[in-house]
Amino acid sequence: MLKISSEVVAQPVGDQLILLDLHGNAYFSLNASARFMFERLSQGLSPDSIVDEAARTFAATPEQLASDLSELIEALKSYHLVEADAM
Amino acid sequence: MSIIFTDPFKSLTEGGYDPTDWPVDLVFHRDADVDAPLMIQSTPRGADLSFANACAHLFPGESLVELELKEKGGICFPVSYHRDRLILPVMRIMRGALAFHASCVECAGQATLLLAPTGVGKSTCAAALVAFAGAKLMSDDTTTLVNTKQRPFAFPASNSFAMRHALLNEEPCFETPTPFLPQKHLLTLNPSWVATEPVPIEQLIFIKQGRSARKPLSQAELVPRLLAQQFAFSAAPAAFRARQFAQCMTLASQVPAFEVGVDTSTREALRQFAENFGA
Repeated sequence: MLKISSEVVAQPVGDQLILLDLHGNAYFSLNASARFMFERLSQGLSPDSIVDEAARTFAATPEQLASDLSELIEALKSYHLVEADAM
Repeated sequence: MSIIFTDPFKSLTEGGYDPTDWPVDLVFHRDADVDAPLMIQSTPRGADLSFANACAHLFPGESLVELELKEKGGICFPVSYHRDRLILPVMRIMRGALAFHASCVECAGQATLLLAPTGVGKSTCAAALVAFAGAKLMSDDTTTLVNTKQRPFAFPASNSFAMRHALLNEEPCFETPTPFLPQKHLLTLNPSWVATEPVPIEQLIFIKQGRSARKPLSQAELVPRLLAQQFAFSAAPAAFRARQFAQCMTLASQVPAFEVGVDTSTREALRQFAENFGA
C-alpha cells in the first residue's frame, strides 16, 4: 500500500493540484485527472478502486486509466513523494 | 550604536510573530547618519546562518559575508536602501507575509504588481506608470504582501527606482548619484508620488520584453511563474514554508494575472505603455 510522504503539502489551484516537497523544495503540478488519482491515493484507496472510480468520471478506457495511474505512481516514487506503507 | 528596525505595518500580518518559529532579530550597526556605510549583524540570540540564508535567497549568489566584504571594498549601501529592499521584506516574511521579486505601483487605491526576471523591465515599467499615468510607487524590486481582511494587500516600501538607464530622469523622478549601484541609476521620487499606506492588490502583471498586447494568464500559466518569483527560504522550518506555499497558492486563486510585452528602449515607447495601461 502506498502512502503520501509526510514531507509533501498539497494546495488546489483551480482544477490543478500543486504539490510542494518540503524536503527537496521542489514544486509539482498535477492536472485534473492526475489530481483525481492523487487525492484517492491520499485516501488510501487501492489502484483497482481508483481506476474503477476514474472510469465513471473520465472518458477513457479502464486500460488507459490503469496505465495513467501506474505512470503517476512511478513518477511520485521517483520524486520520493510517496512511500510504501509498512502496515 | 545599534539600531533595531521595527515594522510600522506589522499589525496587519495574521498570526503574529512567534520568535520560536524563527529566532532571528535584526540589529543593524551604523557609524553615523542614515546614509553612512552599513554593517549588518545578527543578535547574540543567534541567527547568522538564518539571516545569511535569507540574504542568499534575496540576493542569489551572495551571502551575508559577501555583502560585508562589498561594503568594506568601498561599495557602501545606505541604510535606507537595505531597509526597503531587504530588511523590511525579511522581517515581514518572518511575520507571515509573502515577498516577490516584483515592483508595485498604486493606481486609484489599488495595487498592481509587476513581475519579471532580472533585467526585463519591472522598475522601468513601474517608473513609467508613475511618470505618465499618475500612479504612486509602492515598492521597487521586492514587494511584500499580506492577506488581511480576506484580501491580499501590498506594503509601501520604497521611494526610489533602481534602473539600468535614465530615460525617466525628469519630474516626478530625479537621479541620485549612486556609487553603490554602478550598473544602475537610482531615481528618487518626489514624496507626493510615493504611496504611504497598504492597499489591496488588483492584478498581477508579468512583464516580457518586446511590445505585445495584454493577455490573461490561466491558472496553469500563472502558478509556475508566481512560484518562480516568490522569495522563499529553504532553511526555514517546514511548517513555515508550508504556510508560505499555501499563501502563495491562495494569492494565485484570488488575483487576476496578465502578461504584457513592453518596449523599454525609448522614452516614447514607455509613455505609450503607461498611457495605454489602463485601457
